[in-house]
Amino acid sequence: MGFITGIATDIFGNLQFIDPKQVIMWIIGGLLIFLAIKKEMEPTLLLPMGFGAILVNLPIPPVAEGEAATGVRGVIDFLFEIGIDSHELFPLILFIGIGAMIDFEPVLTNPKLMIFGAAAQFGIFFTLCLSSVFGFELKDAASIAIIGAADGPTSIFVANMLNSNYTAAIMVAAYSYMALVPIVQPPIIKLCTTKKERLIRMNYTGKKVSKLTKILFPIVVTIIVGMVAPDATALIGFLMFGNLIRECGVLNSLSETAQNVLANLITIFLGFTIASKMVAEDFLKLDTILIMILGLVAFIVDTFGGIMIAKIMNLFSKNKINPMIGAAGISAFPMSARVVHKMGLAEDNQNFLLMHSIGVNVSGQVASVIAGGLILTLVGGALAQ
Amino acid sequence: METTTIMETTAPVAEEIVLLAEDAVAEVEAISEVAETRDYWTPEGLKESAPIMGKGMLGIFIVMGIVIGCVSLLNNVSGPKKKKEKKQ
Repeated sequence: MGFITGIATDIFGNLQFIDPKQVIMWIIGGLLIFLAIKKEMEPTLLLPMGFGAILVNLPIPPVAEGEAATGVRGVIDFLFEIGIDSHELFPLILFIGIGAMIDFEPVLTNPKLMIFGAAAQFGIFFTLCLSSVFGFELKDAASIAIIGAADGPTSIFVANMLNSNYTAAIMVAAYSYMALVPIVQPPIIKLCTTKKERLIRMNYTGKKVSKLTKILFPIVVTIIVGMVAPDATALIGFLMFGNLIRECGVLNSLSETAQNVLANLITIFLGFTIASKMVAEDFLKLDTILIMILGLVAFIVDTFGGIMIAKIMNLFSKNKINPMIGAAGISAFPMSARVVHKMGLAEDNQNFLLMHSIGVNVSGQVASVIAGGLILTLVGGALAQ
Repeated sequence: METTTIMETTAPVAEEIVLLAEDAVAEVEAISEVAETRDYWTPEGLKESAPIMGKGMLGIFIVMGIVIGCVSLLNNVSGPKKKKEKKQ
């Protein structure tokens, strides 16, 4: 009998160390896995994050805590240290892949579309103010605000550079809302536009862009952004390097590798690594809920900003712009462009807004990186004072 | 004589204990400050964040304006020549 009790204690003894908070984190992890598999919401990131959230919240006996640091948590912490904490390696390498995926041609044929990308970053700065009103320190307010960049790597980069206390919640919010763009944006677009505005047709001229322009674009943008917002140099540099590989025409093999193998490999580690910050005692706070709400506000105000600038431009322009394309200025690429295109077709099945909305969407990608760099520069300056 | 010796021996130890106690008190105070629930309504935070919003939005529009200018220039310089197109 004593032998059986001894074995039971040896095998199941760890159960006594389960904390109810850890069980809640298992449920959250399970929910992320459910959303990834069943709803196909950003599965490449939500699935590793969900599984990682379960993994880092398994009970550890007090005596073994030191040993555990060399076990699963030790490995994930190590990944975080080398992949994110030390030099933001994972988000930057992922940006090479993203750069290689983006075709800037729609925005190069009509550069004015970049104005929408700029306007749709309003949510970032609005949320910065709102977060500071809700009592967050400036560095945390800025990190929360960058959820509005609708761009995972930029969010990770900025939050980590500012040494935010809420990195995990920010990551979860950023990727969740990116996945929720098809649900979040349509009601806001409808609320901000009239039926008449949604019916505006836009002709696509389809002008040809020279290869030289396509090659010089990433170089010129890197130089400009690097000079104005030095803190964004790494982000814009890696993004544009990926694009240069794509457009140069002599590195097709590297371009394909960057778009597929490299991006996939980093994505696997990135999701898993972010989960290292989803430890129950750090994650289950009132602030996490507040961050999720503020992230949603950032997305909504971004959408509003893009639409409003289109409306303002319509006051002065002969060729009317469908204000819905402004909403694609948030850089959730390419979901946002697809949402706008589908909404245009729903109003008028002959109204094809895809090329315009894609153009705005890719300019939003560039603008969000610039916004991240400006946040780092301006907030860094304010904190230094 | 004995009392003086004892005093001389114990004084540095006592001083060390006092210093350690002071450190401990300071540490507890620091921890309790961090643990203190933060204020969830601080409108004065706007004083710091509103100028950043203004500068940030202005900065984005300026940078994007420069990029638009450069792309337009590139399109004009390296794009297909209109005269040739007209002839064709």
